[in-house]
Amino acid sequence: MTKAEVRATINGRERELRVDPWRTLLEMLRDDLELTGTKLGCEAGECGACTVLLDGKPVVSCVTLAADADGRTIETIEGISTPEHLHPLQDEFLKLSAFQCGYCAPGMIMSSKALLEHNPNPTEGEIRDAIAGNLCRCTAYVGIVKAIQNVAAEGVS
Amino acid sequence: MDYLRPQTVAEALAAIAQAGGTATVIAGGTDIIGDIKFRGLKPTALININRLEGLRYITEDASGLRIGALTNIQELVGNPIIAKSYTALGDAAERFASLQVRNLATVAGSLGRASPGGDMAPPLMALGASVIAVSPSGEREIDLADFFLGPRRTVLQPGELMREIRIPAPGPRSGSAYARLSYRDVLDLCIVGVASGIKLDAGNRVTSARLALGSVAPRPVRAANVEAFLLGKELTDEVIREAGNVSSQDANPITDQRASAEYRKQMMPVLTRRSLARARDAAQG
Repeated sequence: MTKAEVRATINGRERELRVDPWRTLLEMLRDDLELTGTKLGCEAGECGACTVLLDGKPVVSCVTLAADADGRTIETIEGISTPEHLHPLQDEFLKLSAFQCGYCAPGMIMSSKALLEHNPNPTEGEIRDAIAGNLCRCTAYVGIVKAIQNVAAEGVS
Repeated sequence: MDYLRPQTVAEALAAIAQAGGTATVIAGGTDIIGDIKFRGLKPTALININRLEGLRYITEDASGLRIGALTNIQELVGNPIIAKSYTALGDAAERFASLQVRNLATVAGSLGRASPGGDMAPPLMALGASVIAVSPSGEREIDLADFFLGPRRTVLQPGELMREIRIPAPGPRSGSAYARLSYRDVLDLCIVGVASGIKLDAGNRVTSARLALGSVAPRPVRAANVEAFLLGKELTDEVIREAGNVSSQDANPITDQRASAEYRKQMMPVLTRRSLARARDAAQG
């Protein structure tokens, strides 16, 4: 069996892997690199729990080929903070309890981060559009939108 | 399973020919990955064409719009040329799945999938689009109205690849729109989708009409009865209302998990009116 070669920058670090051709980016992140912050939800690209940034753009990693990460930059929830310093979005989600079970939070935060990077002052409608592909089954949406608004108001650091 | 990542269209065609029909071609991957993991697809080789050179572009010239086969759906969203002159396509793109899927899924992949409810087909058919397919023996242009055979079946032959989607220039006093109905705005396939592409003369008479229906037949279909009804008529509110009624002759929808046949039948006229009214506004704007 042929393996696919993947050379990618993942959370700022150059990684080199050999993966099965059908392996998904989500499986590579979670199982090969032990980056388990990215969650497996529906496994069909319909819930957004596995959202990561591929060259800065949000994608559902459960339907992205791991092999397609070759030569590209990937950012996951682990890459946006250090144990000492949470990302402002993480701080604000915590402050406002913008989740209940927390399963959607990593994907929600990655989508929010992508939004604020290209649109630092989004309207509420733009925020809702940006997270429309991230389902929260606890329906913490009001807190989530408010958290993103608060971070936008403070300016992303 | 072999894994191949050709760099050029020629390399890709050679790889497909060599695999002799047992390989699977993958681009955005959003459907194929599920086929492999959950639906029993077991190709001998995966041929990843996602980064073939020179197939990601949206360009316009006097003859119309050209979209490279590997252009992703999000690249259509907010494109000023599409928003201005190919409105139905922009309508469909911004309502397609979710942002995270639009950043992966390709325009040609969506067409190749031939889903009866796929959102790319009706607007492109209403705009008169065609597909340029390449094979080792050359190139051919296929009118999208003749492209779909049924769920997951198209007229593409083994060994053929889509290279480009072409839309003829709509010309002055043209307008198009796509109206779709679903339970949710995102991450939901449509119950009924209707795209209209029309051209009016100075007296608001219809000189050209193309309508396409999604999710109401085994494949996306043109609404031939509506088109014939509209031709030559002044596009008044009353004519739009009547055109909606005529649309019920253009398809016999079935019941599935999303909606009953009866509901779809009731909604076809409603969506037909909505898309026609917006296409008229665009043509007059």
